[in-house]
Amino acid sequence: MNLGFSNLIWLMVVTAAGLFCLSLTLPSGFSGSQTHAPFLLTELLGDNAEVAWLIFIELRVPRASLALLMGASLGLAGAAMQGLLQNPLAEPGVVGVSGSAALGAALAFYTGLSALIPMALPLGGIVGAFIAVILLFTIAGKRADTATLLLAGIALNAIAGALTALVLNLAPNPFAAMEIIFWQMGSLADRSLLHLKIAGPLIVAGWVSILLAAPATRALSLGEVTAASLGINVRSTQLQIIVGTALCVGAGVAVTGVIGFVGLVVPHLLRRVCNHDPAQLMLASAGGGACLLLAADIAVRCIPANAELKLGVITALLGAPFFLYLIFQLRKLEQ
Amino acid sequence: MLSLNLSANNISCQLGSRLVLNNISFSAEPGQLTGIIGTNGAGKSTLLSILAGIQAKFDGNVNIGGERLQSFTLNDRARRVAYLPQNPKVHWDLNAQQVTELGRLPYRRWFNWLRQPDPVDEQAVATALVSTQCDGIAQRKVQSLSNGERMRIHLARVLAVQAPIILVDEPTSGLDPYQQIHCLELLRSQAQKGCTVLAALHDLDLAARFCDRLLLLHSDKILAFGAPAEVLTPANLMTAYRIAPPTQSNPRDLNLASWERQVD
Repeated sequence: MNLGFSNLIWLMVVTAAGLFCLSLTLPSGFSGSQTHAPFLLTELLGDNAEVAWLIFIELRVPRASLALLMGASLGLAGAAMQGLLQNPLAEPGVVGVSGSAALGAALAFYTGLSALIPMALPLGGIVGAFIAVILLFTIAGKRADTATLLLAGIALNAIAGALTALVLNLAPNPFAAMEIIFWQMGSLADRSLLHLKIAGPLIVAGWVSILLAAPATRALSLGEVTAASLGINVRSTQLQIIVGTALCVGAGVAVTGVIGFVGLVVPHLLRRVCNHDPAQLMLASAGGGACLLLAADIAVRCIPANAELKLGVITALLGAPFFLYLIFQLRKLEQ
Repeated sequence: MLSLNLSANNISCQLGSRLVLNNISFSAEPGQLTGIIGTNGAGKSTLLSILAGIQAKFDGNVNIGGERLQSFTLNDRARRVAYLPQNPKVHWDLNAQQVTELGRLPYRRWFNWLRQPDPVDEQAVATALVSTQCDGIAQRKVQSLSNGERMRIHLARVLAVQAPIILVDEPTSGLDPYQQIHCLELLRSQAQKGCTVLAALHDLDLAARFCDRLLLLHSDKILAFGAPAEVLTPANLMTAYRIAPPTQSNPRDLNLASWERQVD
């Protein structure tokens, strides 16, 4: 079936808008005090309108917006890294960028810096992500074969994991440690308008940087040398994607925690519809990622459980087997 | 089509500690197919990548149509010089048409990357596919094609640029004789249309048969430059390749199948 690229984008915009509105109407889960949570817009006009508006603006809007921003970031960054490294397994979570961003944010959190200056939280995430992307690129930059890429990912995840464990180990009290652990699982519950304000602009700046590089990734499907001969500035393309990924994934992870595998699954599902064109895939993956994360965040609020399921746990449960499946597929191709 | 000559003046290139090219000067004219020959590591690929503007670390200068190569913007350079590297690859599962369309990238503005190609681009792509006889396989995935078909697709991508200067690095490696001849016929026909074509070649028989001029590189210098018969002399071949014709043969016989490797 050939859907046509512009139709696909329209479909995604409409779907994302629908899911966004649906997300706004849902209470924050079965664990929350849902009896007082307004379920539908009508309550915003009812007797308790003031409280309802407060919940709506302070909790619902940030949650739905962050789902939209983070989903689009993960889809976009995943497709961009895949285009740059010419490998379908490149994904912020798999290669350790999300983990490093989480470490950076945890440090900002742990040192108390983020309590003093709210911006320290996303900045910590961005610095962590930036270091990870630079390292990844140094190790696996030129024509990354699957083995090199995955080894680099293992190493970066191990370093980030070890340092995060150190932070937890040194945590002043068990509650602080618990807080970091829960936050790291990746969730959009109880994020405030402040989180949206500090992360939102940085995330959007990251998108701009990545999308500026989109046409060049098309040429990169013929390799760096041919791309250069076609008038592409390969260096600046690399830099745009590195900076863009660090900005949107770093700032995003800093407020939502690690939400893995979105950047892996979404581009894979959409690649065929985009005729394998890396540039179209980037835009489509941004839309697809936003839809997926909005839908997943609605799902975690509808699944009855003692404690609300964390979004990152759900995406990992679904994404990790998919990752394994992709590795099997690639191995078959490489043989 | 615009015709431009290509001249290299005092090109020297050091990669790491090794001097790859030492004071190379020559010029290639429109309408001619110039073959660059020499042993493995003689500097053929380095020379081509310098001429294409890919390798920026070198001394001397390259002029195209009398203007310095470095003075062009990236897009302007890409429109004038089309380049096919050694062992070209396609990383995603693109079809032949998509790969050929990438040859039109130097003409596209970054903001219209989502739009369909305009009629001029479409015409250039269609012409390139027809002249490489790839029109029948345009919708096939490149990964599913044979080596010969793949090379023709890459040539189609190069032709789609419609550049007055075409540089190709060992286009015939790994191809069967039919495809080798086909490939060189294509390059020669481009030269006859007014392009300046340079090709690095390993097969001296093919080089002698198809090229108008040959440039023989040996230990970082030009050993000989001229018509094939002037360049492919037993003395030059002995110096550069250390091969010699069998003793009882016509010294002008370029059928290298019977030549022998010289042992020190």
